[in-house]
Amino acid sequence: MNQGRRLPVIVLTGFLGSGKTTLLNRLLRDVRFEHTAVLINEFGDVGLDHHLVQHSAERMVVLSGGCVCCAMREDVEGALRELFERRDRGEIRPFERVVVETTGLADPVPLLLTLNTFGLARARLKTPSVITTVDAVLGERTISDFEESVRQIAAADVVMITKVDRAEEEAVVTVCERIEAINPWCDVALVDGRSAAGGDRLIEAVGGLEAGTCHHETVWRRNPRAAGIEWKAPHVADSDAGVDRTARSFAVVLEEPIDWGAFGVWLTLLLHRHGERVLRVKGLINVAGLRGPVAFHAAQHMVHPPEHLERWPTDDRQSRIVFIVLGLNPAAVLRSLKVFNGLAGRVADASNLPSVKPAGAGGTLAGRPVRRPTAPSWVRG
Amino acid sequence: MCGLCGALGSGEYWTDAAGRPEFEAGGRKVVRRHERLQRVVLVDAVLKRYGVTLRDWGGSSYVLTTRNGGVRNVYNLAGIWSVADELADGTIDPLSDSLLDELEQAGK
Repeated sequence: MNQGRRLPVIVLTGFLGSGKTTLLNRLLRDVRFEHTAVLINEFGDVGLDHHLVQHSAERMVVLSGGCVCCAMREDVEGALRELFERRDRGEIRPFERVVVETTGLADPVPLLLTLNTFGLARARLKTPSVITTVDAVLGERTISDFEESVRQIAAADVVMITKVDRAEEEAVVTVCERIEAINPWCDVALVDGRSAAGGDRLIEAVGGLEAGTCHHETVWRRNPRAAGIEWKAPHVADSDAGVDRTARSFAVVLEEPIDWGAFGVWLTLLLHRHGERVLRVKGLINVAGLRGPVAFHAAQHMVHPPEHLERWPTDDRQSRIVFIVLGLNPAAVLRSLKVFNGLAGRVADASNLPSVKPAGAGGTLAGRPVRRPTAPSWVRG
Repeated sequence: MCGLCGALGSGEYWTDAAGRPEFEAGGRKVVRRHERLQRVVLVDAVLKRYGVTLRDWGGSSYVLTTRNGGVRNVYNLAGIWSVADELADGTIDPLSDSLLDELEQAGK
């Protein structure tokens, strides 16, 4: 049942004690989310969170003994495989979505990488969406002190500010501003600890993510300030190591079309050298020679396959790329992109390219002519 | 394997435009070998500054060479940067002013 359909997957993340499990419980209690499989990751050898989640044990998998990060990726793969195999064998009831709750200290990007690249996940699951919880009372302090929290917010599609009933209004406003400074395109919802409204908002958010109501166009409409280089309220996450780790988001706008080859070379190098400090890149790119824009999305070292859109949301056809970074200089990023793009113009002329030779023709290594050793005689000629 | 040139196909990477119909919607044809060669020229322009040379190897992989004869073979763009790091004189930084100055001159 449902084998041919790709299921939505939600990653629920948030710092320690920010209310992930409470929200998950509310979600699972709702009849609309009855058919949900849950993967819970716990930090430490003795898992506890899963005891707090009231859900049918058969469709809940606990990954204990560590953090959902690089070291645990195989566990996530194994857990998903087991979940789908048991469902296909009819041992457990079918489910319509998967929710993965991370530990409070997890950087969600490696998990997202697993969900985007692991074969079974790609075949059975849709592109993951991320909901991040932030504590209204402690949120500002957490964001200032812990880079993990900044990474969780940067990865979010929806941020839920929890415990607003226990916080002063000013603190909630400050947390909202911090979140917007880190991640300008996420939706932000306020939830309190007592009323049912919190659960409803989570359900609403999940429904919205599953329906795909957040389009690239709305990103720009909601962020009219995303023009030129724009510094947003900076916040210092960690400056004691002498390295600038200021989290900030900024947008770069390019009038001229971007050469896709040059963009690929530039971004792979940027992510290779500074990927750990590039929390997210998202944008619409005016690729030279194409009618519609190319929607682009990357998080740290992970790059999503580019998506081609039919039409531009605005008439100006300018490339707009929003970066969320830790300490990178926006002016340097813009200059670098422009220089690499300009360099592409020089090589665009085919006459500047080396001649194409068949593999069997070999080449030169360190000045000495060599033949491709594996080329069979019928290829070498 | 390509029946014409005998090259083994390499894995698809997000930077590849050739073979993706959406990149050809504008009416231009993206030829895989041409795309690779353009990439080689671009990367080579960057690596030259660090004493490393990049060449295409039969349309299926890339060869990095150093001035003192070091040779390494890699299969995709991300791999090029990792290996180039080991071979390069200095740190390859796309935000480095001196690199960008040189590339600007080269682009004129």
